Amino acid sequence: MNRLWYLTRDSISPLLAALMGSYLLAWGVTTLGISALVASGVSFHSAETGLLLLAFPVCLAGFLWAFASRHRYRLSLMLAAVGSLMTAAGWQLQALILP
Amino acid sequence: MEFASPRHAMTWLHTWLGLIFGFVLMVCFFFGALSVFDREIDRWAIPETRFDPQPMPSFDQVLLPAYQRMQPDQAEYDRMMPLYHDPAAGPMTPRNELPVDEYWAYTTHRDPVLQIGVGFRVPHPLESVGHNHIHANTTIDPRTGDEVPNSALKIGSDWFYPLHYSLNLEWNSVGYYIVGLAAFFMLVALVSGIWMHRKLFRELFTFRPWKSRLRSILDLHNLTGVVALPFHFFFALTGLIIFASTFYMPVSDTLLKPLHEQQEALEASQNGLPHERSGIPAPLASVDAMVLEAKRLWAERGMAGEVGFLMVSHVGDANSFVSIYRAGSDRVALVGEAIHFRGSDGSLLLQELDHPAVESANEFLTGLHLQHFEHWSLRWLYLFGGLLGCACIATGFLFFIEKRKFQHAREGQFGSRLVEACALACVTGLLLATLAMLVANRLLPEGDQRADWQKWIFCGAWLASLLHGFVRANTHNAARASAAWYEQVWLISILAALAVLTNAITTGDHLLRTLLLEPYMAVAGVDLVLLVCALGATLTARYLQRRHEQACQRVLPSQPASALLDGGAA
Repeated sequence: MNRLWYLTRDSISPLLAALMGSYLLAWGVTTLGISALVASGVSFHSAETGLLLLAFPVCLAGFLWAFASRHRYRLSLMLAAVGSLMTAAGWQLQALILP
Repeated sequence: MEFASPRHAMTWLHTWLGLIFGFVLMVCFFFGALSVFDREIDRWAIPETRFDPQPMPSFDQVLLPAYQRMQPDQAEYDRMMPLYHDPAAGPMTPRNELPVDEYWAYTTHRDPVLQIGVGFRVPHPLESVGHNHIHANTTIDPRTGDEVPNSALKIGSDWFYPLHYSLNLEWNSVGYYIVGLAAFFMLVALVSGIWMHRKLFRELFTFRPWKSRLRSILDLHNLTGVVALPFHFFFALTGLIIFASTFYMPVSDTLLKPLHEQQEALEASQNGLPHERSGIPAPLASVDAMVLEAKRLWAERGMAGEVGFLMVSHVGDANSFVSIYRAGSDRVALVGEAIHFRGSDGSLLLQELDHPAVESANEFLTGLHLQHFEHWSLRWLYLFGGLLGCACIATGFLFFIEKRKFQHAREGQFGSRLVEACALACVTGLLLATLAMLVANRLLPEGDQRADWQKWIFCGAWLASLLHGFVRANTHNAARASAAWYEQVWLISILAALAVLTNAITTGDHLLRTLLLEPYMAVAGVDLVLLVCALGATLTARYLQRRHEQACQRVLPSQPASALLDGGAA
C-alpha cells in the first residue's frame, strides 16, 4: 500500500499535473485562436486547421517545461490557469461574434 | 520526486513513459507499417477480389442500384437513433424506413473493389443542424455492382489498419484515446531522448555489436531512433492532428459549436452549396454526365485525372448537389480539385481551384501520413521506417530488462521478468497473432462467423504469446534470456511458411504463378515478405536458441549491471 502511495505521489501526480496544465493551455490557445481569427475575417475551417496544427506542439512544449521545472506543480497550475482564461476569453469572443 | 537537473527529469520521462506506452506504440508502429500495404493484404485474404484495380464505375448504371439495395446498419441504428431522435416530435422511424440523405464512394489506384456508403437521415432530429445520420457502408465489385460478402474480412484495411489508430477497441472510442495519449508520449520520449543524449550526429554511426550486450542494445536503440527521427516524430504528430478535431481537441464540436455552425451556413451561402435541405422533392439528374464534365474541366486545366471521391448531398431534394473530387494518385493530398454540380439538373455550382495555404499545408501533412499516392519505392520506405520504429521500441524494452535483471534477480524482484513477458507479447506476439490470423484466413471454412473467428484467433494467439511469456519467465537465472523468445520465433518461422503454403494450396496462386505465369504482384509481394519473414525468423531462432543453451551452461555472473556497460559478459 505504501508503495502505491509513493508511486502516486512521486510519479503519477506530477505527470498528471503537467499533462493537465499543458492540455488546458493547448485547449485555450485553440479556442481563443479560432475565435480571434474568425473575428478578424479568417474562415472558420482555415482558423481551425491552423490552430489544430499548432495545438500539439504547444501542448508538448508546455508539458516538457512543466515537468522539467523545479516548481513542477506551480508551473502546471499556472499553465492550467492561463489555458482556462484563454478558453473563457475565446468563449466570450464567440458570444460577441454571434448575432 | 526531485531531479538534479532537467536532463535527469528527461531521462526519467524517457525511461518510464517509453516503457509503459511503448507497448501501445509497438502496436501502432507495427500495424501502421503493415497498413502501408493494407490493400495488398486484403487481396491476399480475399481471393475473389484478386483482379486489377478499377476506376470509379458508372454512377447511374452500377452505383445507384447498389445504393438502393443498402439498409441502415442495425448496430448503429440501435446505438445512435435514441440519441438523434426527438421523442416529442413523434415515434422513432423504423430502421428500414429512414430516408436517404447522402451517397459516397471512394477509391484509390490500388483498389480493385470499391468502398461505398449511404447516410440515412433521421426525420425528427433532436438537433436540426447536426450531422444526424445512420450509416450503411459496404464494399462492391465495381465491374458488376455485387457486394463483397461481409464474411470476407478485409484483414489489411478493416483489421490491421484500424488497429494502429484505435486498437479496435470500439467501446466509447477508448482505443483512440489510448493511442492518442501514447502518440503524445512518443513525442515526449523523442524530445527527451534527444535532450538526454545530446550527441545526435554521433549516434547515426555508432553500433558496436562486439561490445557487451547492454552496450550494443543501447547503440541499436539510439541508432534506430535517430536514423528515422523525423519519420517517428512526423507520424506521431500527424496521427494526433488527423484525429484532433474529432477526439483529441474537439473545440469546434463542443465549446465553439455555435460559431462553427454559423460560419458553415455563412460559407454555404457564399459558395452556393446548400447547407440544408429545402424540403422540396426533386429527382437526381445523370451523375455520369457530371463526371464527364468534371473530367473535361480537369483536362482543360492541364490536370486530367480519374475520380477519387464522389458524394451526393441532400439526396432527393431540390437542394441536392454532387461533389466530384479528383483522385490524388499523382500528389500527396488524398483528393482535390473538387467540382460541385446541382443534383437536379447537373448545372455547375462551384469549382474549387485553390485552398488557403494553411488548409493545403494540412492536406499535405495528413496526405503524407495516409499516403494514398502512387509511389511504390516511397511505400517500401514507409514500411522500413515503421519497422525501424518497432526496432527502436523493442531495443528500448531489451535495454530496460538487461540493465535491471541482475539487480532484480539478487533482490528477488520480478520487475524485469514482468517487462520481458510483456515485451515478448509486443514483439514476437504481434507477429504470431498476425501470422495466425493469415493462416486461419486460408483454413477456416466459409460461413457467417468466418470473419469473427479470424479476429478471435488473432486475439487468442496474442494472449497465448503473453501467457507463454509469463509461464517461461526465467526467475532462476538472470544471465539467461527467457526461452520463450526463441520458442516463439521458431513458431513465427513455421507460421509464416505455412501461410504461403496454405495460400498456394487453397487458391492455386503459388509464387510461380503470381510472379511469372499470371503476374499479380499484390499477392506475390505478400507471399515473398512472408517467406523473408520465415527465413529471418529461422536464422534468429537458431541464434537465440544456441545462445540460450550456452547461457544455461554458464555460472551466474556476480558483477552489477553498470559494470557490464563496458565489456562485461552477459
